[in-house]
Amino acid sequence: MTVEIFLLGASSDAAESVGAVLSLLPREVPVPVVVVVPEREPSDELCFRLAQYSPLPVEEPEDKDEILPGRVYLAPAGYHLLVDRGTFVLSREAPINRQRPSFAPLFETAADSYGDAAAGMILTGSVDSCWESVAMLRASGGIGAIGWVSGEAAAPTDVHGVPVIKHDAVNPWIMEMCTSHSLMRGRP
Amino acid sequence: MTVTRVQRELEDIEVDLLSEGVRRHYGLELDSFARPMLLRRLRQVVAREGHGSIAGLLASVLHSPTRMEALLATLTSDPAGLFEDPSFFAAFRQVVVPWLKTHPSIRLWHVGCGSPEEIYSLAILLHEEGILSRTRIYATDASNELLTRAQSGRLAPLDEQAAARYLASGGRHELGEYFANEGKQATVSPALQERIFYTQHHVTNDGPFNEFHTVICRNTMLYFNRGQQTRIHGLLFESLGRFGFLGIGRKESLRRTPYARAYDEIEGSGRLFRRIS
Repeated sequence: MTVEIFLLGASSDAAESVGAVLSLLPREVPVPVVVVVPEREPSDELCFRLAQYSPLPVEEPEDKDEILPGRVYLAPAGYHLLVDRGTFVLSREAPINRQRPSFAPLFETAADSYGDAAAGMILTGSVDSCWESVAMLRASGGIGAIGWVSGEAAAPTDVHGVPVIKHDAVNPWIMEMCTSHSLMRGRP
Repeated sequence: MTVTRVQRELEDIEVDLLSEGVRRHYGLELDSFARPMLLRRLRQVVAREGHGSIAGLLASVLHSPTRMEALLATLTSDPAGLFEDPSFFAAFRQVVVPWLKTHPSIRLWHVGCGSPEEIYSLAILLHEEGILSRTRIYATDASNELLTRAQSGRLAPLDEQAAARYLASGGRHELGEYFANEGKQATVSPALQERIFYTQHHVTNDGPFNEFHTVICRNTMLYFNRGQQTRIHGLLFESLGRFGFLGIGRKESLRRTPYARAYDEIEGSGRLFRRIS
């Protein structure tokens, strides 16, 4: 199978990890990297800050923009970000748990339109409801895991069947997803 | 909700059947909606109303025009606050209002009633600029239910954030002056509603119905796919007089349409365009 899109979510306690992950990406990556950080203000400068870390161009997509490989896309504040194989769709539906953007609309629609060609990880430090979004990817054959980036709490091995990747293994896992054209089945 | 591959294949068939049924019976084109958004909302409706499947929903809407109305309203409305994206309203005051003031009578088209707070915000702004009394705001939607809801003038009680956005947009009074609070809801002042003309218009099927000085279509086109968006942009272009203004959503653009060159973008305005040809 081939990974055609990589989704990277970060809960509010892990938002700072996103820059560190992006900084390790090579200059050329064969997939688009779509980043969702909930709880954002329209005026925040996250896109600007991430661009300083990332060797790839970082942008906030507009509605119906084409999804191109080798770029980092950041879900804009105030909208949910959805994908339709190759195209972004923005939505103003109600915030989910007070969050807009949030993980579920992106992961659900990536599972729908990319199926087993979607891979994704949500960086977090707590067992909350974000596993459901990753489970949606996995249910349609995609690859998904939780990245445990908390220094405090010990990582569980899985959350409701969604594998948890420990802190020091998170970056290699993401690199493999973003840079390998084809991956063997059966891994987390 | 977790969806397996087989379920997804069935859903695809069911969405096609729903589109076909709704087109043949009601003349509405669900095909022109952005597919992932349509699918997500259909799943939510199916789960909330207990239809079991999209096929179940199809049976329900085919046999009940009321259900069809409710579905259309769900598919094309989103919760919004007053003066959302205050920079848009601030730019509107600075750039559009001085030009509107040069006209003895003003026609303004607000496309979509799915977020009526937007329409009330506009009316407040025009009132404060002293031109509401000579303006006709045409507020249109395909959905009768959304038109009725907007016409009722009822909305959630005002909160501090709305008041702050109003001030950030350049508001000159107290936001509360324009609303009557009645327990768990607020009602917009009848004086503002007097200049708003609610009219049914299918932006996906119908043609232009007037020439306007300004057209506001913020976040309404998000519901539709690219082909339909281009068609709607053609309609907006034809409905706008030369040097008229077009307002779209913060994350929408004219780039991919044939009309990109027909407009000048107003710098730093958060998506205000002026028709120049």
